[in-house]
Amino acid sequence: MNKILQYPELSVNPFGDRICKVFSSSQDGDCTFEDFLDMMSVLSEAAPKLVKAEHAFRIFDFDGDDMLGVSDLKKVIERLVDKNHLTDAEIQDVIENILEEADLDDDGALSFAEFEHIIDRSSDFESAFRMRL
Amino acid sequence: MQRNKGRKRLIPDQAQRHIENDNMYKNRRSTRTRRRDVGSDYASRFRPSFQDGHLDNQFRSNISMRRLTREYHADQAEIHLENHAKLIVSKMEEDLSTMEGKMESEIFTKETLKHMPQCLTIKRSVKRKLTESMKDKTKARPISLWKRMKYRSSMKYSQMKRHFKDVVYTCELWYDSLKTIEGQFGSSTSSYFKFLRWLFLMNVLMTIATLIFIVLPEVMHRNMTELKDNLMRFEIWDVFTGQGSFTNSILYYGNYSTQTLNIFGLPYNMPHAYFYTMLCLYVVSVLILGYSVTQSYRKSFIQAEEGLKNVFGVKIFCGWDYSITNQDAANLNTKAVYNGLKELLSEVEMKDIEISWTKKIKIIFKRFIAFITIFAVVAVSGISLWLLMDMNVGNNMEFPLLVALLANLLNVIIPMLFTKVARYENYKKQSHAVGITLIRSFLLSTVIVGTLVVFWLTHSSEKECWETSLGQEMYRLIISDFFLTLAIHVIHFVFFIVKRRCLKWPVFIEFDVASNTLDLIYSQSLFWVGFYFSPLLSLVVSIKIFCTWYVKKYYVLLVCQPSTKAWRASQTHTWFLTLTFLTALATNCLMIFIITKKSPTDCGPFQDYRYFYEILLEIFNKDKFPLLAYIEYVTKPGVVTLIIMALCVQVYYIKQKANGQRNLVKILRSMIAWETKDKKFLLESISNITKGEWHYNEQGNRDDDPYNSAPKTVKNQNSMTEDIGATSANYYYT
Repeated sequence: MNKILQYPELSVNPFGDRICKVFSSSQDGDCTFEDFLDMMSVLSEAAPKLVKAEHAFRIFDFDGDDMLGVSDLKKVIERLVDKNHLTDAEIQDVIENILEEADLDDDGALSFAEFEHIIDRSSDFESAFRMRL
Repeated sequence: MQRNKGRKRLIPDQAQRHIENDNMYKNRRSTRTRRRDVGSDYASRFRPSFQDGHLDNQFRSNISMRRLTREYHADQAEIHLENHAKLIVSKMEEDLSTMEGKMESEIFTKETLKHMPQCLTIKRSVKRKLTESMKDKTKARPISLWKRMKYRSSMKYSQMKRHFKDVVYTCELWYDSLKTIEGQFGSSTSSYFKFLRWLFLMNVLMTIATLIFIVLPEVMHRNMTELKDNLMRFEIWDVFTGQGSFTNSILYYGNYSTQTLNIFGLPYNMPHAYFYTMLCLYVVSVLILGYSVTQSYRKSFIQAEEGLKNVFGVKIFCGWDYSITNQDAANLNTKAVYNGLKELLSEVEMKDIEISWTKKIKIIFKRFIAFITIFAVVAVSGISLWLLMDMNVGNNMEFPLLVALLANLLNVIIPMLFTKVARYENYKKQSHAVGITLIRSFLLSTVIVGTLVVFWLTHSSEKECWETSLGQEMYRLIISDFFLTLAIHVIHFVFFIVKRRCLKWPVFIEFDVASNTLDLIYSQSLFWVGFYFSPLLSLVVSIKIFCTWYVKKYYVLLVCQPSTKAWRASQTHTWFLTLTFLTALATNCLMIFIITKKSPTDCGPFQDYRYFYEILLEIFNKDKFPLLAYIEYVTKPGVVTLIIMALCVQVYYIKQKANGQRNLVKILRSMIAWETKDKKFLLESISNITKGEWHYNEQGNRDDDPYNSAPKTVKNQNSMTEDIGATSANYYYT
């Protein structure tokens, strides 16, 4: 995994280790050539939105329960803002706002359908979730 | 527990959705154009997680595939993958058996595989299995020779198309530079460069067309007849002024022949070639632009319409730019996300606070003053340009570059003033200020170009050949614009070096995507105005854009810092395309005006005609074309009004339909919410019963059985919502 993380795009990406894990067939972050190919095909420009959304969802789903719960969202936010600390209350506020907007069935977590709903309506996702080889 | 229950209840919905999906795709199967959608819809059912429930009873347990594979050892995981692939294949074969043509099913398979969110191993194995089973089927059912031929040729065609796409992809122009820029500055800055490249390619295509159809025949004709009217000596200064030896060269309209040329014994009607090439290029460029605008608009605005509500979700899930490769840029990206989140949070808090009316009046007053100032500034710059040109013509063009320099300087300096004004106006959102400044700058450049064109059109009678003069003016503007930008960038660079290296000051220059793109649009509009009067201007503009690319690239890489403001890359791109489209449309209108209302002077290919457009009528008259009668009939006012009315009715109808859909979405969404509330209530009651906490005594006087009675109303509601829930889920997922 460490070797793959030296790839420039992944080395600065806060979700670099998550990306490796999601695409690794042995589940431990080590990637075979085929896994790497898979990663690049999903992150290429031509990949369909649905495929991208599916993998993004898995990247953000830290505990692997097929739902983006509060703990997942918290980890995502913490990794995103990195050194610029948000206080716990602020993170809580952000999470509440996200759930208020997107959690359509009020179960306190985002399912894939709800996540896809956000992604589907955002034109920025495709331009952001993409690497140039 | 709650979640599991919820999922089990969802299964009937899913099954129904599955059936409806099937029906839908059977209905759509006949329409070729929608096949892509069907492929993706269909593929979405092969999600690796709980939706595997559709595939087989074995997976109905709603356990995610990942969890399964994690429990297995590596070799077992492989077996599992094989099994999984088999399941998918059997499901797909079932559906494929309903398809008639082999061709159709093959394309369908390809699309489905492409849209299937599975790893490559599974995809490959599915494909192999499908091809094997396909082969068996073909053996069983022989097809006619004609069908085979048709099938083969269409397969060859699609293969060639794919190969061609691959080749184009590998030959992508300036790929490396784009990658480095994107890696260090993110996708918003690279959107400017992509736009630049797009413009360059379009201009190169236009250059090729003009070279082949207009310039080359003229040059060959001149060489053959040995016409040597270009007697003036070439001076380096002519490159800047476009005058002197350039005046009588093939750069301008005035020097193209008016007769039918004789090239290698073949007749070549120069006026016709000139007119129709220009017509095609203008029309095609507008069509291309229109098409890209609608595509981009559909992608970034219509689909994203509801996305505005999910501001937080979008910030979090789309906040990271995956193409970044450099640590500084990554730090800035985290900072941008941080700032964005802070801003959003404060906005949510600010929503409750109302602004007092005295403050409101103050803001309105401020904006009114700003509006007046900007209007005055634009008017003054237009008038001063006009006066200078008047003076210049009176002096017999002694300082030809003066006008061009003034126009370009105004175009550079005044937008800076606009930015200051916008800051003074104190807009709440940064994006509003940027947008307003953009629109104002756009207005300014329109006024500048408009003044120049109107001046030459009104003074057309004074000049010997006003067409060439207009072409020269545009040539000067384009050239001086390039050298001015070059000079500004060099000065910036020198200042940067001095401040950074010698004085050790921390300097941060941000690359302003908006104003730079506006400059590009300005130069493109100059080109469109001048192109008709100077065919080789396309070559000049192509070279200019080519050089601009390198100037900007090194400027960005050496001097600039990535922006800490998060730009919405896709939407800005749409804005730029729209502005370009508007300028193209405006110049086309101008061209129509010139062609129909202005008479050509005694130079150039059209000197024998009273108006430019008469060349179009020539065809009709010559062959007694029956089309003319139809055209006359169609352009009658009555018919035109009818057409316009019909269009209006259609627009109204579509608008109403869209409104209806929107309302439906609202209703369905509230249904989903209600359904979950019901579910929650029921689950709570059930858990209460299982815990034995239900107080029979309290409920006793109402009914004996608490489960059947208390949620009775809910139950009724529930049976209703169940149906709607199924359809809503359908609507939602498809």
